[in-house]
Amino acid sequence: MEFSEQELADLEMLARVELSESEWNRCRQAFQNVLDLAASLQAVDTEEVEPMISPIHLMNVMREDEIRPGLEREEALAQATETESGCFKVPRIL
Amino acid sequence: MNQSISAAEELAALTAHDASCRLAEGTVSSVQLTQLMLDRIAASQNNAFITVNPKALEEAAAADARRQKGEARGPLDGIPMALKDNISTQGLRTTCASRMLAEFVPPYSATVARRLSEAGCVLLGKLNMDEFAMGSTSENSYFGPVRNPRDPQRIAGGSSGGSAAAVAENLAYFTLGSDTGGSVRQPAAMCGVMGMKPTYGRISRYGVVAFASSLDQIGPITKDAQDCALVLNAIAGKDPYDGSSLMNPLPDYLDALKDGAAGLRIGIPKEYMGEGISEEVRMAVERVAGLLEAQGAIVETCSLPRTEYALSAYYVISSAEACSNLGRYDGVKYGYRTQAYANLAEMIEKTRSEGFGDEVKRRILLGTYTLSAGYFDAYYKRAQQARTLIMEDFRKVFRQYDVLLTPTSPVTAWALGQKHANPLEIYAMDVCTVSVNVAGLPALSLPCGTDSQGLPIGAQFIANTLGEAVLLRAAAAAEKGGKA
Repeated sequence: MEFSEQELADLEMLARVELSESEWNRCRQAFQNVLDLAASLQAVDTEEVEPMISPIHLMNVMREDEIRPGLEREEALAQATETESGCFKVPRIL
Repeated sequence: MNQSISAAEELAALTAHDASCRLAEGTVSSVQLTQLMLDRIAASQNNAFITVNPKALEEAAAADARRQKGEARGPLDGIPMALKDNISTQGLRTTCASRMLAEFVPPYSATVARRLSEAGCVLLGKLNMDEFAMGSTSENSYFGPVRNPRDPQRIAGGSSGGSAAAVAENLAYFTLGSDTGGSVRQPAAMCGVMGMKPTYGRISRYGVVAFASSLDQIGPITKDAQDCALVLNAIAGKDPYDGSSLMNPLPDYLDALKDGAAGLRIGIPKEYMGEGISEEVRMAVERVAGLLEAQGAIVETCSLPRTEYALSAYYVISSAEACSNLGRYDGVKYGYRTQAYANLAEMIEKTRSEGFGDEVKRRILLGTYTLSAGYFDAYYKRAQQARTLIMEDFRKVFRQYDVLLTPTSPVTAWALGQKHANPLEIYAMDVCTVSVNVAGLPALSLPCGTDSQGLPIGAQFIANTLGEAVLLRAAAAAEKGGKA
């Protein structure tokens, strides 16, 4: 299967990751190879086979909604590039 | 002087359990062991460490003080160790070998880091790896590649290359790595040390940077089976902070070491010994089988016919989960943020494009592709169905066998830079390890000699769900047979 420039542009938009032309030239063939590898799954007979979502059976476990100590506001904000008035700061969106 | 150098070498080369005996006897202190490791780390040229813990000697002094008061906490108290740099350590930078997290200092510690600290271990520092654990060579690191201590021109394996190289070069008495598709076992094999990937859920992943959530598991890298059991005893078990950690009761893993190989039923799946496996690796694995057979194990050939789909299923599932997990890196709450941007969308896109390396971006795009509308059923769902079939194969053979024996890697360590051009060639090297993660099983890589170039070879034992004890039993018996 061939991978088109338009498909790449769509993917970049969805993933919010942009490749420079040299990056894309470096990885185009690799990307194609991996897709071809993935395509080999088409040969698997999956008729009536349940998909395996996790190796273990997860169950919902309920507990009381109790207040427990967590991160202090200052600790939670400490790793952000920009903060203001005790909040994370991002460029204006309105 | 030569004598003191060799005494230091000998001390550094001890297993963790032997070092523990010396600490208990009082013939050496934790501060001495820690200083020795720090000196060796500073002198090493192999780039195994990204960050050294400035408080290591302080932690060692505290361990010595506890021991003097008769309050030593157990066999690991005072033992210097190190952690892969995707395991969060409060107050100590945790980079994931990525520009994205190059300055990230976690506000809390991973459960495994906390449990080792509570057992008294001294944290030496954080270990180099492939960026976000994506890779099999430890060359995809923002901090430069890890070199193999057995031959510095070669890769250390990956993605936990720093964790394996540090143990092989005696820079730490043991380390932890993480294993999503072989990332503990393969570098352990290539560096000539032992690495275990426990059952999915046996060890808490709270505070470990997520790559592929249905595959990731933490594992110890050690010098022998006894150390592996000691570390497992300290870190395994239910954690209320990790909903995927298992409740099942914990055995004392040290007990498994004494059982010997007599009566052990070992299957060698023929799909793992065929095309693509180097002759020297195959022979080394057969030697391990011979050693165990000589001790009374029953060795037979078996089959896991759906093995051929494991690699494709693995790359589809791991990339899909990675693209979701890595969605959180947007430059807002923590991590790298780009300098110049006009609006929020541009800030996020530039942050991610500049902060992630090539391999990470490639996998994010691949995952985005396989999860997108129109392709989901053809790739992701089909990969999950293949996963069910691979699991069925394993369940079937484990009705007949206690443990499976395979190579860990089809070849020994290759030259740095050699396979850059074609990642698929590198992906293919994971063929012996990925099916274990796909099925969530435990497996262990045992060092089993060297090839004609002197490069280490690893043999892999695979057990059924929660079969860590039988892995240790087989590994301990093989070690004993190898020494006899």
